[in-house]
Amino acid sequence: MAKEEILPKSGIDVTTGYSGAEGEAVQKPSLQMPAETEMAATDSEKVKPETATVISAAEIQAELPSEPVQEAIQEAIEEQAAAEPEEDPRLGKVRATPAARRLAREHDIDIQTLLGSGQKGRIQLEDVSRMVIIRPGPSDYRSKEPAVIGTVLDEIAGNSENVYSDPSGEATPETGKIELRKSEARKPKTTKSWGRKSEPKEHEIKKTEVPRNANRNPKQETMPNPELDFVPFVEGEVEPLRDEIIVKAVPMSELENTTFEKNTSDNAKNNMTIPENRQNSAEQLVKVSLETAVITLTTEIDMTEVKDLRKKIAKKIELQSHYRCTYTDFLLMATARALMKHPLINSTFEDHAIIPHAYAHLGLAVDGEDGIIIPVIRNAQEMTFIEMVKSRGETLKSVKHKYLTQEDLKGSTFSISNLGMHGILEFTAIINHPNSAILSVGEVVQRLRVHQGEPMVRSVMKITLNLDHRVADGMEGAKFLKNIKADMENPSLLLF
Amino acid sequence: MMEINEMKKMKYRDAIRLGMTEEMRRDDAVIFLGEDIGRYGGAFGLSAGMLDEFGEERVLDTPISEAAIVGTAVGAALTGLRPVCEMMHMDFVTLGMDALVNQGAKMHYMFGGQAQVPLVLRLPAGTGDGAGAQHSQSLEAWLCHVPGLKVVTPSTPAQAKGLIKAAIRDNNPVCFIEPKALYQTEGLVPLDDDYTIEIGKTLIERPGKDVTIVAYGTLLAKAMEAAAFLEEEGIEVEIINPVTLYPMDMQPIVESVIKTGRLIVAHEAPKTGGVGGEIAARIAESEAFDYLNAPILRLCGMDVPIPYSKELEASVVPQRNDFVHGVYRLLNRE
Amino acid sequence: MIELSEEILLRMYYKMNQARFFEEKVEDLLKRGIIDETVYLSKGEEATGVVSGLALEKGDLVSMTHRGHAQAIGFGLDVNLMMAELLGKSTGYCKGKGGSLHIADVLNGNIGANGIVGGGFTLSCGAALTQKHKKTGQVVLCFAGDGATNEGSFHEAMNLASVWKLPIVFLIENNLYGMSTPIAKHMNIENISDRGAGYNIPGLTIDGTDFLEIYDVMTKSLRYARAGRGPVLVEAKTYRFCGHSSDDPQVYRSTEEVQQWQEKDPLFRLKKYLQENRVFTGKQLETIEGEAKSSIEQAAEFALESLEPDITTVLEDVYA
Repeated sequence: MAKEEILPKSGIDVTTGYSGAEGEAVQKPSLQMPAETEMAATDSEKVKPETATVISAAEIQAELPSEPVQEAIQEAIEEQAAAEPEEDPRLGKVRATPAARRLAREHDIDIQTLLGSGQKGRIQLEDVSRMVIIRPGPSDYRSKEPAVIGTVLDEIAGNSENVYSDPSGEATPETGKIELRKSEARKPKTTKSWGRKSEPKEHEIKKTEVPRNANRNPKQETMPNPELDFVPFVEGEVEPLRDEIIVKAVPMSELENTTFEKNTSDNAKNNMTIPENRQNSAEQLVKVSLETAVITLTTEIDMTEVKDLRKKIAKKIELQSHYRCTYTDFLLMATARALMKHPLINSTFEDHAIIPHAYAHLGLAVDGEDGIIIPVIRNAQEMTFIEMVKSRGETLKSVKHKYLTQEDLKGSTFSISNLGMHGILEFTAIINHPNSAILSVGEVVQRLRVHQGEPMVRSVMKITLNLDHRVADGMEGAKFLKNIKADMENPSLLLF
Repeated sequence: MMEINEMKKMKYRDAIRLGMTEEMRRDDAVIFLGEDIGRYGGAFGLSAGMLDEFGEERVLDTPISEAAIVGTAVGAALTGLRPVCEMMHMDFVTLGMDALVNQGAKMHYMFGGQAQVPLVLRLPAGTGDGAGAQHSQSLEAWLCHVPGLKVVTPSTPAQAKGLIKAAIRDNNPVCFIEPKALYQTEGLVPLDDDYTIEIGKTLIERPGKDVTIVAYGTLLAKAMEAAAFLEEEGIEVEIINPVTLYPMDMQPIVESVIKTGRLIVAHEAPKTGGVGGEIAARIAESEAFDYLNAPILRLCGMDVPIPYSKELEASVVPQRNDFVHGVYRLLNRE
Repeated sequence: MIELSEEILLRMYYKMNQARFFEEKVEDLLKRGIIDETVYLSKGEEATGVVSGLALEKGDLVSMTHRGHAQAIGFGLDVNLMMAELLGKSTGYCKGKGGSLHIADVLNGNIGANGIVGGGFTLSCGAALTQKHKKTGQVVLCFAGDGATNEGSFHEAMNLASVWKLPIVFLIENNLYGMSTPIAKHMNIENISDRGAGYNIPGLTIDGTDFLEIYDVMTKSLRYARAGRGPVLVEAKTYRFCGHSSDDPQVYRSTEEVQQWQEKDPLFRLKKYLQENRVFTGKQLETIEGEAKSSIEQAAEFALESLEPDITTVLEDVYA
């Protein structure tokens, strides 16, 4: 019976959306009142519309909570609707430090396309500088921007010797691969000085005076420009400046198999071909986020091996950990490991920034006394099997004895909901905001399957991944599930 | 740079006395007035022995009348003396605020430059001796809001001596803030009669490249400890001591932030409306803004009165570990 | 009754007239909108300021109040520079940065008018301490109003001056109102001079419209202070004919009361005395009045013709 209550009970770092009130009622209504949910979803991208399996009203009715709870839910919905601002001012804006913005500006890097490594995904100087190759050795790099505010720049711009003369490479040969961003007016134009120096170039002056983001004919600008010589950090004299600036321009939605570590310039080099839609990536992000959809992927896992292994080791594990090991422990292990290979699945999406995490804090949806709550098992990626059993066991014990604090419910990076014990074969849980995905686990059942060429009765279990498409696409999700499946079907490795 | 020949290890408190004594020997116009500074030797024993050397005409025990002490000092400064006066605790400067703020600070300007007020107001400030809410405040931000005043605070015995001498020689009203917690700290002090610390010049106390910490008073030592601790982890903290809180020499701070991209400003005084906010704002207005790679962090006293209990007292002002965690935070390590 | 020399009387009459014309001129400039800053006029109270100023010896110091034009004229400040300062001109005493409330001539011993009621008490203590310390033999004359004696600084300064035996004469110009509040509502004593007893300071109350009494008491008080016997507190009962400031509707007192005091106009009393005692002839008096008036007219002209301060000077002189 699909009693779907994978909802943040409380405390999950709710900085946006979901009124943050004791989470119990926050998303429930989406099942009970589909019409309202739909409206809410279009109202704000923060509410993720679900593609959950359709559940008939009658079914839900049977599972509805008691009257007072319903009233509370109703109130919460109304409150939420009232509190929801028309448009979030953070929409489409990037969190970045001033230093990161400066460097990006200087190198025409679209900051919207970068992944931030700072707090809450803030883009730091380092995230931008990864996109720029700076010649190794003693740094004689100087900011190309005027150091003194209020200098009469027009006067000094005429001097080609002057460091403030435009070093931006406006006359650099354009490869055509890189489209210039709309850049802020930031430097004095040096075009006049060119004009003064040689009359025949007058034609070019006009060209260069065209706004930087306008389409330009590369041929007219391929002529070598001596004034580029002072740009101190560019390696090579012959090679055009632009080629040295490696822009990782792939929007998040197109990232395939991206891991956090891959943001190095080496990899970025391979991404030199800038997708045509890069220019609109900001708008795209917004658009995607508004029209976002949750992808649902289901796979079946052969649990026979797990079952057998568990039988063998259960006693020993219990002696060591004082808890009985369950199928869930295997699944938690496999999930934690898979998450490390797929940081995007293990990311949070907040304030329009995707934050992949280097650790797996697994939220485990369990039946608390007054509803579903999601306590967090921290740093699951580091745990041995025994530690996992112990940790999961203690968590459930805490739930039972109400030892949990608000802190214990915060900070998950991924969540798992298991309704198998209630006889649910397959279902889709609602993503636990701000996670990007949730795994729904069904019951382990006996089914006739062809195993090693022979029809056999095997224990199988269905797991379903619900994934925020803004963060990662179906392929990523599929690979993630495949990783889990592989581990679960060869479970001995999970013990090491 | 002055050549320093002879140094002697002495306490911060004694360094201030040495500086005052030297200046009083040098210039007859320097007088010293305050409550119980004569025979008693000052509430903290700072002026012990001065009465014997200079007599009652130059070391004047006043009634408990802070308004009269400051006002008299301003009047005397205006007419040709160079008074040094002491508030027993900085908190009591509020009682002398009119004479300081409305009179002394403005006279040079509002009289069109014809008058000078060479006055030093010594203000023992801050926490550390469990003196409670009315004897432990750091009110420098109030003073830093008054054009015409100079506000300085020395953080080591050597600075204490050099700075009190510079303050006495300055032709403006100088508020000389002495963190009480530092009185018993020791350090080498130059014995040179002409050793002074320039007012209006910011000092770099420790060079580094990862994070800039601006700290003064008691927090300078805490920041230095934290920096030593962080050094072991390979984090190089640059520590800057503004020395003169008003008018502050911002250039070294700006340059440091350009270098490090990260700034922590620290003081014992409450965060709201504090000097740290001013430094942060000036950095945001400066060239350094474009080099900031993390939000500016203020480590300041809590916005509460200073509590009496030693443990509570220590909890409302930043401690060494707050600096360590602050640095971690700016470096995304926690 | 003391006898005053012809010279003193001549200077007195001239300066009293100057003070009166000065206030009238300022009133006129206010009405014409040429001065639009806050100015406090002392019309009716001129005797205390002018006469006590004449009782000073060369080198004595003065601390003035916000209602200080007559005090300044009595001390001997230049009306041209005063008027220029009131008009905010670069030629004024404070280069246009002080205004009426901060007229000062520090190098010549005038440590300034004060915008803070009661602000001058402790400053005077300091100035007197300098005289004592340097053994100059000079005295500080500290002007204050009746309202200022209710400030805490009055108590602290009285006490300190008494304990340290500072050479100060505190002259309280009691014009019976603290702004609009009658004295009976802000102190429960009849004579402010009674307050001296609390500090073991001699306290005297005099008629502030009677130049003879003022001169007599002030010279004696100054002599007492100069001798190193400590401060003196003199209260002069007087009356301000005009409002507290230029925009005071004066609803708090009756026209009868004002009229009654106007009959005791100190300038009128001085003139009457000079006429009755035949010190000067009518023509001589007219000449003196004319001189005084023209000096003020000249001052106004000087001020009006003076240059506005250069805007770049605004950042000058914050620090010495």
